[in-house]
Parts: sequence; C-alpha cells; structure tokens
Amino acid sequence: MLRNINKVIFLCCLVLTISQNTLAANTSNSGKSFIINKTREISQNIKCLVCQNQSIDESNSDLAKDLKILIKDKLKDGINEEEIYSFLRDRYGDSILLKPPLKTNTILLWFLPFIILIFGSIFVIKFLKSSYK
Amino acid sequence: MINNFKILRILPFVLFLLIIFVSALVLYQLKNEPKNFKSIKSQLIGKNIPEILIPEVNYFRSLNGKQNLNFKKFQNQIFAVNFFASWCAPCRIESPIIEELNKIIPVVGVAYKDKFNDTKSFLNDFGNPYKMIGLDEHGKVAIEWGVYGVPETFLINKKGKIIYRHAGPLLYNTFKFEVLPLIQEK
Repeated sequence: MLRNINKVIFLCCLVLTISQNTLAANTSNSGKSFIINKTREISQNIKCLVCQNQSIDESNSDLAKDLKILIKDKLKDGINEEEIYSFLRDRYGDSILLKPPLKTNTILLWFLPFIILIFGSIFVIKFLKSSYK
Repeated sequence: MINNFKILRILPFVLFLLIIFVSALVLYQLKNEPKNFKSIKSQLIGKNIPEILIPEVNYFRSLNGKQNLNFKKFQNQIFAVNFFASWCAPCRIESPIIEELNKIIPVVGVAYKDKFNDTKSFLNDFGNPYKMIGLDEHGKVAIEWGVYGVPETFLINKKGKIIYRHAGPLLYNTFKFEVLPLIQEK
C-alpha cells in the first residue's frame, strides 16, 4: 500500500516537473517571439535613411541593421512602441517614418486624393446624366 | 437644368485648375526637399548634446579603462565632435581640415563601428587631429547623435548645445564659409 502511494507521489512530481518545464519554455519562447515580431513590425514602419524607398526591415545597410538591434534592445528593456518611435523621431525627424504623421504641412498630402475623388465623381455623374438626357 | 449645365461646363476647368495647383505645389515641395540625407538638418540642432557615455580611448596605450569621454572639460567653450572610422575613405580626405579645426577649437573624435587597433593604425598613418578620442564600437552612440554615417561633424556652443552639423567630409570651402564664421560669431 505504502509502495503504491510512493509511486503515485513520484509520478505526480514527475508530471509536475515536466509540465512546469514545458510552461517555462513556452513562456520564454513566446516572450522571444513577441520581441522578434514587434521588432519586425516597427522596422517595417521605419525608413532606411541611406536607401531609396526601403524600410529598415528590408534593408541590409549598416545603419538599418544598427537601428533594428536598437529597437530589439529597447523592446527587451520594456520600452514601448510609442517611446521607440518618439526616440527615433527626436534624432532623425519625421522623415524616418514611412507613413508621414498628419500635421498642418501634410494635410494636403493626406486629403487631396479624396478631394480629387469627390470632384471627379461629381463630374462623372453630371456628365453621365447629361449624356443620357 | 441651366444651372446644372453651367456647373458641368465649369467643372472641368475647376478640375484643371486644381491639378495645376497640386502640380505646382508638388514641384515646389520637390524643389525645396533635401536632395539627400547630407542636406537634411539635424533634429538635434539647438538641443543639448546626448548624454550617452562614450568610452575614451587613450591613443598611446589602450582603451582608457572604464573612463568615458568627459565633455565637461570643454564647458563654456565651443568644441566639435567628429564621427570617423578607420575604414572610411572620406575620413582620410577630411583629416587635414579636422587638424586645422583642432588648432582653433578642441575636436573630439568618435571612432564609429571601429576596433581599437584599427583606429590606432588609422591615427598613426594619417595623424591624430583630436584632443580626445572615444570609441563607439557598436554604433549606438552615433544613433543617439542622429548620425547617418561617417564622417559627420557637430559644433557645440558654450552652453553645450549643438549648433551645426555637417554630414560628409569637411572640406575647405565648408570649413571656411560655414564652420569658421560660426566659431567667430559665438
């Protein structure tokens, strides 16, 4: 009877140890993959400053590589996405972002296509209407 | 009906004007846009120098232990910070100008993504134009300074604020017509 109890305790301990190890491995893996994914996500929005129309994610230039390492290190240190963007903007300006922020000097850039679309649509509708009559 | 017809007649003209206006605006923007990163104004102009520590290199011996570059030595005077590298060809071209600059104001050199021995050989071959030298082995200091590549030169005023940045080799004309007037002015 005592032997059986011992066996059960041993088995329980074994199962617990294995499951804890698996859990720990999964947690550290998910932490690592979160940082890798987040680094890629941020890198895709950061312009390679010494290339033409490339993000640092696509670029192999030295500066792009350094910036990717910097982003990764900052994420590891627990610095959030917004702070990383603001760190980079403070040093390289808005031109480091692939999507320009909505500011007074970029309003036209953002809204002009819509204005043209509205005017164009009105024109097309009017034209079609008149041609049917 | 007449109203509609009038609008219909005016609309292409309005669209045409709009397109002309947009094209003019785009052309104007393109004209004013910096041609490359060298002409982009540094974001750090008017700001204090970054506080990141830079390990100091003792040119004659080795890395100065754990000592970092001490910019406080240059408090209340104008000084320059020049990012260079032993592997950078334009840095060799600007070396004599940096030497000239160092005769007027202290110049601190920061070896960018370089190894100590390579930096030492470079300075042996082309002369040491710096008052102090720091080593930025992994390029992290350069990012703090908003550097795009080497060489890059910054002027720092008496208050410790960055007043000028030049990307690319510092050549005689830039030195004479941009850097010197700033030094004399302050």
